Amino acid sequence: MIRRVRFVAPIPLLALVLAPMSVIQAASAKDFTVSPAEVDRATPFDQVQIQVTDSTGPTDLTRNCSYESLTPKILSVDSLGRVRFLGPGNGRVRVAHGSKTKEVPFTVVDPKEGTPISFAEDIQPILTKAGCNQGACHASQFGQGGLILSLFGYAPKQDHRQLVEEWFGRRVSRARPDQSLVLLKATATVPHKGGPRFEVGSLDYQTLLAWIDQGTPGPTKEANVIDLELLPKERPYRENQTQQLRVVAHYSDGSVRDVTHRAKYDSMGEGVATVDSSGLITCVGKGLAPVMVRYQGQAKVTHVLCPHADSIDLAGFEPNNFVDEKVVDRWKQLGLSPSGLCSDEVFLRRAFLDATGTLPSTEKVASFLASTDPKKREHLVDELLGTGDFATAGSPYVEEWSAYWALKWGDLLRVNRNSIGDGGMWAFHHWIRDALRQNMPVDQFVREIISAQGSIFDNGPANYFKIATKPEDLAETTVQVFLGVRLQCARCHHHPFEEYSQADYYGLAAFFTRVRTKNSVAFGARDGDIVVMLRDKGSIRHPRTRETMSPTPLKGESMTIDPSVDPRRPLANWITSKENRLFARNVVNRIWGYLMGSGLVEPIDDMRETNPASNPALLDALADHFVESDFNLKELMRAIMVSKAYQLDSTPRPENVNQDRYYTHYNVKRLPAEALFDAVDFACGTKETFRGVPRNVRAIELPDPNFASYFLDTMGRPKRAVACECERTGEPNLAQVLHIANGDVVNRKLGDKKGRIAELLKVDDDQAIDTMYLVTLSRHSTKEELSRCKKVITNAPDRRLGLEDVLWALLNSREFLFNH
Amino acid sequence: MRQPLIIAIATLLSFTGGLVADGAKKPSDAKVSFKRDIAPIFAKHCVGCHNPDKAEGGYDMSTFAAIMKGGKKGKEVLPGEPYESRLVLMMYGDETPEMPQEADLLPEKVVAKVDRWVKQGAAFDGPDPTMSLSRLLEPSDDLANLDLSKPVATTALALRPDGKQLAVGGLHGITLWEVPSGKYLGRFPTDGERIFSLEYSADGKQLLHSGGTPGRVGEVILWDVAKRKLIKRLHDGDDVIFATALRPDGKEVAVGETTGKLRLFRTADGKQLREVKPHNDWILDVAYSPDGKFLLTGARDKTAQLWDAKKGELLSVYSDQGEGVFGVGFSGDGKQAFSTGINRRLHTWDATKGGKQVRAESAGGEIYSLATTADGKLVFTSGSDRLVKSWDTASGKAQKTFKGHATPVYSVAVSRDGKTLASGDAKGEVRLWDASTAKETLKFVAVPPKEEKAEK
Repeated sequence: MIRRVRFVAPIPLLALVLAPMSVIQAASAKDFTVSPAEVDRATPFDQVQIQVTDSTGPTDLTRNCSYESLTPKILSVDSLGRVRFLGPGNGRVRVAHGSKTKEVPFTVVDPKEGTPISFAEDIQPILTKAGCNQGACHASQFGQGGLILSLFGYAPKQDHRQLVEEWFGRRVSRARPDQSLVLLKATATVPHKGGPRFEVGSLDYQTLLAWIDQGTPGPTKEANVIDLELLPKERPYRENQTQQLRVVAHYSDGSVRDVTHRAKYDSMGEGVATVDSSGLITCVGKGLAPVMVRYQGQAKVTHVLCPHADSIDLAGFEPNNFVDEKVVDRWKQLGLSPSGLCSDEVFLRRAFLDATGTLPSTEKVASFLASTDPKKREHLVDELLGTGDFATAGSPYVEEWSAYWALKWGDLLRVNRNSIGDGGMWAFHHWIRDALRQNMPVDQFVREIISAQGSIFDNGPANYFKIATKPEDLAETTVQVFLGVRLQCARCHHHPFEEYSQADYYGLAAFFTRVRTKNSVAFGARDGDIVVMLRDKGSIRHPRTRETMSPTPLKGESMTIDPSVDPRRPLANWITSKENRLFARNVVNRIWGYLMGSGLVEPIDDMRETNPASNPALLDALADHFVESDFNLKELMRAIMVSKAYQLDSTPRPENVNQDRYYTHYNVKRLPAEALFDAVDFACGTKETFRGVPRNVRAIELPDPNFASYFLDTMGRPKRAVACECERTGEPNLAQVLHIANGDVVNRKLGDKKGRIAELLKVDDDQAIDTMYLVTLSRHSTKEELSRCKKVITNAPDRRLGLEDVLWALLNSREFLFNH
Repeated sequence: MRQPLIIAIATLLSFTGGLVADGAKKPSDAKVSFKRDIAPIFAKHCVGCHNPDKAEGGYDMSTFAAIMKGGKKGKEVLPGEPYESRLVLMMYGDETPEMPQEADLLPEKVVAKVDRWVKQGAAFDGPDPTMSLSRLLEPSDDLANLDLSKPVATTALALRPDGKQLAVGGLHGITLWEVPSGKYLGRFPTDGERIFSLEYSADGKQLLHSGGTPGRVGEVILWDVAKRKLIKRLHDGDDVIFATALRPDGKEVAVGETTGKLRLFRTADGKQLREVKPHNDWILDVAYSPDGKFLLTGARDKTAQLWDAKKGELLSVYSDQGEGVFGVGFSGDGKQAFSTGINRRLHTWDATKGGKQVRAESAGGEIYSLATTADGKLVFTSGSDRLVKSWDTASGKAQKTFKGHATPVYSVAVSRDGKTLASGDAKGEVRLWDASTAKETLKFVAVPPKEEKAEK
């Protein structure tokens, strides 16, 4: 693998020195920089994209320049700046913009010196770029026309066999390489359902032809791509501006190669940017769009950023902390202006619901609204969380807070008696709730789970190994829950949009191969207790290569673990280490998403290079803060909740109506099923009882979903069957509307003889109405609302029905159903 | 080595490029040739979806005759009337669906050529209007310069019943060799690049072969061995033909195609007697029972099938293999049928009673080929484990292992007396063996001597 191109990095310094001279030159000719500045090794199987950039700004001039080969026997260059190599020697390309010119030197080597063409690095990328190994074509389950390739070439040996050996070498002709079926089909010289994929004589064609002529060498252990470099990584655009990307692959042996022509391009925001197969980006609208670039199992994104406005209106928005600073930076880049701040009433309800899943008491509403403390919002956050002034005394709301967040963790960890029995469910649930009451650092929390052993009835976290038992499932769940990485695809094939391979998947599963479970009779023979323990041996094989995998963290070095050590311990240490950015980012993204209505990364548990955060700097700053606080969950929530960004009004400015990822306003969210049920109870002055738990247990305190409740199921309570955030749905549907409007639950509670209405019958209409507003919307009624409600009560056949109607209307209002 | 080839191709390209450019400059009334100008366009952009197997819109465009015949909507080409011809209008995008359907319209220059060809009368200037376009375009003129010294995979070989002559499939031809001396006797040149099936007639005077060029040419030819002459071209196709068999009395020939069709021909005049479609995928092997009454087919669709050769009726489907079937055959007494393939097993079936499986013995690798002795006692297999093996048909036990090949063994054949065995591998090496002792008696690479010219 010595035949790859090595580039000498462009020297911007030189350009800077030259820059002042350009001022004297004609205005039409701009001073420019060229990338690459020099190529010191190229072969006829390479192609190099020359990229020309305006020295004074980010403008791409690649398509505004003219190119000339000064050495036509050695290299050729087309009008788009693409260089191909014809013969050995020193070649030069002259780049001209107006009267300005620059030369790029190339050293082209005789391919005779080179090693044979590499199947993995030369042939597979052609098949990928030409689309041969797409899911819809030859990589479908049964292939097409008999040729079966692996999806995006994740299995080179298999693909090589298909192309070279299958059906007696049908697809290649060693005697007459140019008559090989693979070439005839790809050029549609013979009928090909997929049509022509490349032309006779193209670089792709020549490379395949040369490969066949060289005896179709197969994949070998050779340098592989470890990184993709995108030029530029991010730049501001104006509408209709274009940018020719340059993509450089970095290999494990230190060499680099221009792969612009072989990379695959996809825009993840077609309304903002389009990209063609040559890597030319066109900005077509305002906003931010990542453009994904894939090559040989590596994937990266470049950001197309086209501001909505040149200046923004920040009136009244003074940053409270680093969160606000990062949010404002993003608004400035994107030209977005925020809404104003929300009212105290809204803030109080919002903070209570977000932190504790509970509505504030009427007394709390009154005292908060009455307070003139300029820092009362911050104070309230500290009171809810037990931070700041409440750090020593503790929060009066610690029960509500720990219940609400135990519910979230219970979802993620899939606490459910169906899989772990009643004993396991209670043990795990209590352990989680206690850990939260103590505000156990999240790293410790996770370490205790991942390395848990013993009886699942005694030791709560041990249930983790009963909920998932197979090493594969444990690997998938662990990285999804704790690192926000979806690894499922890699069970069967290389993840097409991510760098994780099957080797990564099974290397991770190898950490769990010594875990076993054994039935226990400690709690009686039929109680179903199970002991999680470690066996002496255990291994897992790569399903394709049949290689025994050694435990390997994602993107890490494989570990040699002493047999006396539980392999889950080094795994837990790696996952929760302060250096593991995935861990901190995952936790902060989830918490941000819960509080702010949308994750910085969405879906919230699909973190990968090609699914970038809407504000990467904020994600990093939050992660840093979280790490510095020693993974203190409450401190993290505090940083978010005391920010001004958290306090914005939920009404968007007209131009921001479609924005929900840049936090220019508070994203409204429907109350989660359990919190909504509790809120209905609170408003109606009733208490739902659940079978098998004490009367005072609230919906948010339930240990699992197996408490029959049509209301909770309809409102989106998850079954805790999969470790995916998507299982809990906040999507509204007709059944929900009908159930609250006409269902038996709300009507039964409204009519409760000892409930809210019974109490309100004792007071006058004004007070009754105001109370109803306080217990549903956490605010006083307005004059207009008061008079309209009075009319309803007056016109009702009897007063009780009138009061019930008003409360019913409030419970059905969006202001009640949503946190806003 | 690489550099000259690339430059040669580049030169060739710029040369053709020049031709096209010149063509464009010519006045628009220049005569358009179907063979030279139009067939390549249709082959490249149309036949992928309009062919006999999947004729979208009922329109098959794989031959000139079919193009003129039209599809469901009637005639697509009206000679002399390009603007009444739907084919032309759809290619211009003036009529829906625009063609090609799942790609951009072709450049106007290209469509204009089709337009002119229709205007000039849509004439045919090839040898046979029923010849497939890919066949029409096959460059046959460069075969003269073929380098025959490069060995190719031995995908077929046959021993003459008397065991004294060996036929070996090679590059664009069949070579004949004297046994046991290994003396080169001659060569039958073929249009097709590869040979997939070889069989001598019972009297040893004729040789039947099938093969072709992948994706382009299929052929079945009967040769006169002594006169080194082609007797009859029995069948042509658009893709290689893997499977053919001569009825033991020599009067009929069975041909299995990659379309899954099985055809029977009369040897004497080449007339097609019957056509059935037993398989959904490539037929890879076909064999007659010793009495000529039954036919066994094996296919990539993972089944082997037993047919009544006379009535053309399906008798049994052997579907236990679960993988593609490479080889099928009958025991010499006709009582047992065998099938082998990707699943690495030698399956034995009862050929008389409703196709019950007798046993399935495991071999060391995929089995590519099988051969049976006339006395019904032995069956030989060759496979990816680079070995040839003999098996006892009564017990199913492996008898002898023939070691020597360094690459997968694609073909195996046995003489009628069961004494001589021949095998050929992926690198073109042929070995002769004493079938009873598994001793190698000769090995050679089956390429003709240097002075042999490729010309027909």
